[in-house]
Amino acid sequence: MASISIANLRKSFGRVEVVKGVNLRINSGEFVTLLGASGSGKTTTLRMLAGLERADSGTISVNGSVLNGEGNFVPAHKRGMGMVFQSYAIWPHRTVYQNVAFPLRMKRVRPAEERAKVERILELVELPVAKFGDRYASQLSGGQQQRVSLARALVADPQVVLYDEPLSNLDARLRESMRTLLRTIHKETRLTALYVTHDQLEAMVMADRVCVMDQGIIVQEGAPRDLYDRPANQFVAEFIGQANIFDLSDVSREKGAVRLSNGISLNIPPGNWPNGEATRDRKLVIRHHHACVLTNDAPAGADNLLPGRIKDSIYLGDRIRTTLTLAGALEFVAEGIDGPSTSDIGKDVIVAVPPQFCIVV
Amino acid sequence: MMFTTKNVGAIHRSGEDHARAVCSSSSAPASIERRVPLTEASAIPERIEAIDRGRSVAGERIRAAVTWLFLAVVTVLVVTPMAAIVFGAFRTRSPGDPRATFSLQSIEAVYLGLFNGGWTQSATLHTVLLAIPVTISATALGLFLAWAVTRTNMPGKRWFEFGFLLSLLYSPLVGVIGWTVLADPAAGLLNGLWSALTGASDPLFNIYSYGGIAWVMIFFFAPYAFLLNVGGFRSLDVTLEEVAAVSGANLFKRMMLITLPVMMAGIAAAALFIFTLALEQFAIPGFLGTHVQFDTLAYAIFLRTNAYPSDLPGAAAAGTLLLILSSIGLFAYRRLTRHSERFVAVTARGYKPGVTELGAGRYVLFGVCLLIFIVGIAAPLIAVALRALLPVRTMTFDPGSLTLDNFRVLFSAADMLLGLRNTFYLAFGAATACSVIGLVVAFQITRRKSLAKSILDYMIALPIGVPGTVFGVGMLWAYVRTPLYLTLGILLLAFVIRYLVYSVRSIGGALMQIDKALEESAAVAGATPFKSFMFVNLPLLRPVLASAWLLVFLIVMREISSSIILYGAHTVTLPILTWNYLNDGSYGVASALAITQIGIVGVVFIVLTRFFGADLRARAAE
Ligand SMILES: Nc1ncnc2c1ncn2[C@@H]1O[C@H](COP(=O)(O)OP(=O)(O)OP(=O)(O)O)[C@@H](O)[C@H]1O
Ligand SMILES: [Mg+2]
Repeated sequence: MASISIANLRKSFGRVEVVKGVNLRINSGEFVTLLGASGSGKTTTLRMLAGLERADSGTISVNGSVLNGEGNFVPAHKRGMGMVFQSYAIWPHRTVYQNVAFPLRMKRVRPAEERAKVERILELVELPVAKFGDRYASQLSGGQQQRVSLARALVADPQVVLYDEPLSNLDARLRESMRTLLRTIHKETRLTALYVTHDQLEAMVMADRVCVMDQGIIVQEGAPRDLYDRPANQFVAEFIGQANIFDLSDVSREKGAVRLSNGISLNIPPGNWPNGEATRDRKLVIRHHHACVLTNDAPAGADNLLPGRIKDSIYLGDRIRTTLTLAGALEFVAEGIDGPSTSDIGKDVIVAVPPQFCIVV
Repeated sequence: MMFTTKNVGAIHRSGEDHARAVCSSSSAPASIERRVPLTEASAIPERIEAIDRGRSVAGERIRAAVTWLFLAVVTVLVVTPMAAIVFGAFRTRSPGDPRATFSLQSIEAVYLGLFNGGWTQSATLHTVLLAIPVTISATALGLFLAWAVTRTNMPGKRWFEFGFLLSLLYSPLVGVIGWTVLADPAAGLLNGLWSALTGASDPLFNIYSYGGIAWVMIFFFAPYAFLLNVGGFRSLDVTLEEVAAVSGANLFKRMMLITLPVMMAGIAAAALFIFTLALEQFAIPGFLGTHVQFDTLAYAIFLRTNAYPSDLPGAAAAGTLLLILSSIGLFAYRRLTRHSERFVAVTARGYKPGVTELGAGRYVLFGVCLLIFIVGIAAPLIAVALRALLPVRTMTFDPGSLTLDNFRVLFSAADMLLGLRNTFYLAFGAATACSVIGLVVAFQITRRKSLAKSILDYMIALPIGVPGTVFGVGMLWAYVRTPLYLTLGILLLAFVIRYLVYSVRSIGGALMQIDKALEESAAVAGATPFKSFMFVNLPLLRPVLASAWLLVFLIVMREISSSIILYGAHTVTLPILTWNYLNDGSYGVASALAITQIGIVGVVFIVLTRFFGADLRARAAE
């Protein structure tokens, strides 16, 4: 069990800086996901943590001991970590058993203990030794290969387990069951883990804490719910879940109100303002499913009402997505389990957005 | 697996894997690998099949007949020299001699002689003593260099990668001349330098020794192992190593436990290739060994065919012995790569070359590589160039005595122009024939399997494991009574039969990578099969064709093992002329010829790589 602390980590390839000062703390036993778009530097960060890549500057320490810092670099094979790659990386010339036992052999574990450990871990990933131990990678399905890879990463009781998009090569059903397996294993072992993914759902399902990465820096971190309800900026709002984002022509924190570019004013409760003073370039974020299209009259005393005209309505099975045109040619999308039907297209309606769901970023 | 000809025969399989490693050239252009998904084409496969079927009901039969005919011709051509050598081993006299009968006398002389001091005893012992250590050392050296160039941050990598391939441009005789100039015990430059420096009277090196012969052979063969493994190191999935590193394995353990075993198929193929070359290599041990009665089988066979009166049955019988030795190599190769099929299914996409950061070690590595380059390639090459410019052999070097006399003598010799013309005819002819036939055969074999095609594939690969000397003797036995004998035709035929497999493999490998949808979309767009071939396949195959052509060209330009047995007064080639000059003691002229040949080959090499995209570096066994 180990805690990780990463401070101001930087890495360039040639002249392009791909990691631009990452700060991250992972507590002992915590499962953290690193979420970000393709090319945002997630893999590079993870590889620096594993020791497969040397940082240009910044420090990485595990349990207080520095692995990568000023003039100090502990190579990968001395870091005692486990890692699962997107491509499985099962050694084709070794059997399942030999693959999994490899980290133990490197640690010179006694044969009896090795056998016991390998058997236990293979049991855990549901590949019993008796049936799968002597197979080669080419005799396994993709999902089974990934489970071998997982067992190999976990078998030597690593201080830290690193995952680089381990499920992205699997089909949707398999991914679901692997996700469950991973969750179970981590609940049980409480290993410190960093999990890289670009799938927001996966990030939220798996993690105690999600770090959103964009263009080489971590732009926000927090519990899945925090990220969803209180995105810190437009990138996070759009990357996690779907939202309407509006430019603001007037922002007044004292009055607790903002004005959209079309002149409509909305109330914002005190808790929904961002930290920091700058008032320029603020945006208003409203999640699709937080808005309600009122086909009847608005209830008395309701706040934040936006008049608009229904442009389109799509039935999505579990919900209805309504696209509206507001005054000033602003587009607005609302989703709900109930809503207007296609016959309502062209009607003038009111969209109600409860103030607690209006977030300024 | 590129070709599925399982269960056809153990020996063949090995030859096939071997060839695959040797020839699956990396030069398939990027555009081939970037498969273009064509939705229109995949949306109407039924239609295409229907068209296909309608067209092919009659065409299918013709095509099958053509395949069988082709197979028959290839089989006859390939099997004849092999059968001839076995036949010859049981004869009493040369082919065509009316007094010749069947007997076991040659076989007995060769095989019993192994145990009772016959002429094959020491030759066989020497052959084995030379081939095994040379194979191991050359393979290890080549592997090391390939690793240094592809997988480290050593400075000057690109430069080295080119430098280590230089020796592909010249014949083994360059090493022989170069090292004679440098390390002749009486007159070698190095020895001269040594005694000048230390006053010692004993020479430092003696190239006319077992060690000297092995030394020259190792440096001559190492570039093959280098060439054949560069691609392997490049295409290795580096996450396999990275996950080992994370699991606690240091660089050495990763190399021994992961990298080398995963690359075993390619490494073993390179080793087998070198082993066969070492068995058939007669020029290096033949020339350097005569001074010390160090004979080898290949050289002894050559002597039997060359002496007067010749002993062709003896040569044939010894040929069968050499064939057995090379089969043992194939067997060892099969053992080593027994399980390599299962390596194939697991390759990940989109890996990047993993470079090991060596820190200060990169400069050490640079120094080692530079030393190897200087000792193995630059020094003998410079020595040959120097010798070409010196009128007589000297132990000291005086810049004032440099002259072009040797070149003058060379170009005024009638033989020279004849040899030049012959070699050009042969090299261009064999390279072109192999490319064209290779294209046709590869096209037949890769698309749609059938029994005939599998056998064809097998037949074409068969000559690979046969040492050139043995093949030469076989051709001699088979064609000595035909008008082909002593013409360029027999040499051309020998080369095409022996090297066709190289072009078939590289072209076939590239064809497999061309998405069928590309052709199909051309067909849907209204192109006839011929047009779609010209429009789609040929442009994509151009660099591969150029590489296959260049490979055969280079091999023929330096071939000596089978041509020395088949040539006649009017069919001398440049390597044979070099050999003859050398044996006449005309070192200077031989050197001038070697340099001239390097120049010619170099120009062709540059033209092919520059303007046609040829690239000899092979991809690892796929
Ligand atoms: N070895 C390298 N050499 C040069 N550039 C690199 C190298 N590795 C990564 N990059 C570049 O650095 C950037 C970040 O790459 P990284 O692999 O960290 O992204 P990622 O967030 O993991 O993306 P993905 O979700 O696609 O895996 C990319 O633009 C990539 O092209
Ligand atoms: Mg990545």
